[in-house]
Amino acid sequence: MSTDPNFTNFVGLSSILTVYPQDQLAPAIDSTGLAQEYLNWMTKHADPQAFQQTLTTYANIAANFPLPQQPGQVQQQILADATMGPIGRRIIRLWYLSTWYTSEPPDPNLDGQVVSMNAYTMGLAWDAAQAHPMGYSELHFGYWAVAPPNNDVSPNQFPNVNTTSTPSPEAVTAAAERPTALQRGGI
Amino acid sequence: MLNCPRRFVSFLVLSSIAFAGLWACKTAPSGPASTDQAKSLGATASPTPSSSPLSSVIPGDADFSDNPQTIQQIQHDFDVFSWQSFVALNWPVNQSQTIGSSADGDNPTVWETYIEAYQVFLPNGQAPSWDSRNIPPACTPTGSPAAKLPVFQMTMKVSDQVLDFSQQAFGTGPLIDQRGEYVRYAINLNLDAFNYILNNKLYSKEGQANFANVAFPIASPSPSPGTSGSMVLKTAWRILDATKGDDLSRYHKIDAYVYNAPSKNPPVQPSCERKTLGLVGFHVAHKTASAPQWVWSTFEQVDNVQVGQNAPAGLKPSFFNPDCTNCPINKPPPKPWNPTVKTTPSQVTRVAPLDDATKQLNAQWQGFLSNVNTKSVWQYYELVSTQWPTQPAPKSTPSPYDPHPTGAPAPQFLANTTIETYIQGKVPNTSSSCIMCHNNAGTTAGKFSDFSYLLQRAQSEKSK
Repeated sequence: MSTDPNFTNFVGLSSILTVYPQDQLAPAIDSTGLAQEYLNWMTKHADPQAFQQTLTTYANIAANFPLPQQPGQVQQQILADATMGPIGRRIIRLWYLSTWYTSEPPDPNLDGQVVSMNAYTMGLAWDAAQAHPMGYSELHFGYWAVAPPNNDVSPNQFPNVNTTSTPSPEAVTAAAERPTALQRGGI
Repeated sequence: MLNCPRRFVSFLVLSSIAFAGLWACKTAPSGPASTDQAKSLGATASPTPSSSPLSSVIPGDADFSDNPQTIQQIQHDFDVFSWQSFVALNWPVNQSQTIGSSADGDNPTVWETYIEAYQVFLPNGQAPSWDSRNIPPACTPTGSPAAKLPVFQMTMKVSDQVLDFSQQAFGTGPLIDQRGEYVRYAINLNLDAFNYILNNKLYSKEGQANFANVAFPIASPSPSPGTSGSMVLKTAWRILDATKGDDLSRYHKIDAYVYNAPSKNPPVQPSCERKTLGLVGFHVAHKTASAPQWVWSTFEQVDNVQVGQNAPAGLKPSFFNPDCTNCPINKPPPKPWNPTVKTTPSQVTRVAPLDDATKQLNAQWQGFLSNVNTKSVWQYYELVSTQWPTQPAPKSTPSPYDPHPTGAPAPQFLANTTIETYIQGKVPNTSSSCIMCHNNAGTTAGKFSDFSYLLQRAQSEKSK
């Protein structure tokens, strides 16, 4: 994984904004490098000053507030800010919809570009909806013949975010069974 | 908003933007004793230079004792595993010899004693045996002069091999060499994979219908001997002819029956000829403890799309004509596809070049092989890459509910120019990716078949 502070801050901020754990957005052993791709995209296409200000603001939040308070601080200091708010929302849209909008608020009839083929298939919207892109499923052959599981595991996977719901026992089990990048014999 | 589970975040995002816009917007650019067993039990690697890693022992998994931390380091360990597997699988059947040590630098190989797929899935769902033979009638010219040669007695199973496939994955078309000859393919299973199919009656449709969850075995934990884990090999071969410019000293060769199956469109009469074929492509799929999605290694002969090292003057690539500037690149030949008739040669290029680390490793292992014998044919093979799961599922039994059952393979795409010629590239779900493709494999009963398409070949017992 990159040791670039911008990358670290971008992934940390992305995790709070998307409510997905950092090791899912940017696995330690990453075969696609989507987080780096999004960072490169933001660096190239977002307003440079606003983007850097957003990352710096997040870095200060991460350095000065305990984990449970960081999401609230991101909401107050970044999303509620007139300059940084659009940056934060565009990051959310990138991760969930794989799409870059220049308009604010976005108008998909006028605007929007899918960042890449990988971005499209890895959009978090699919995962959150327990769905998959048309014609592209990572599930094993025959999955459609079996009822979907209850795997809303976000409260467990992201304990630093206050949640209003209590995870089901199935969710706890599913979270515990989820693989991590280094669950491999010998490494 | 931040105090919500992600489903609610998703709902907010989706409701704020017309979801249909996603699709409207632009896209930026019980078997017999196994050869494996014998090898493991014997565990006596034949004589090689002391510093050489060449060994007849098939590794059960990659060696991570160097504690790799980066994707490049893990890739290296899997690539070494691939080379170890390549060498062990191509070790001489006569275990007292060393790979490539014979006078001509070639040898009959261990993996060529493995059963071929067409011998496993028999008509009427019959139970196969490791030594079963089901040669097409057109290929049984018993008493032919060549069959009586003693040299073929020692490698009888190899010399009687039938190469009956001339098509690539997804019916994308045959590969034609620069002399207009069709490339032939074969699929072989090792004993672990075969015994799993046999013992669970997966060789018939009825057996598959009665079986709940296909999960091929991995190697037994060390030091328990006897297994190397399930392995399936797919090989590509071209017909060699020294009188027409082929340099036979750069190929592993077999004497084999080349069978052309009958067809109505185009009209093809069954025929079979005995030919000398050279190995041009070599796939190995190996299920291991670290890779429930299997490890996928692929090798090629070095002269496939460009002339490799130490090439004699005038040697040309097997599947690329450097003098043709307007030949369509990586396009299948025009139909009809009739393997009995020579046709337009394929103009093949490699879309994803070998990376520098792989080239370096190849040079190292090719050096080990040439150190055994400067005439070794095995020095003229190169690893393209190894695909492995970066996030292997923790469960030993595959489940449709694993969140990422393909394990986020690395590299994301992998193609052999002789086996996935026409689906090279970097388009998800379209370009060649071993794990992503085989994730769609199912049994004849519509269940996941643990990354193996072989079970689709089973026939019904009811037609007895």
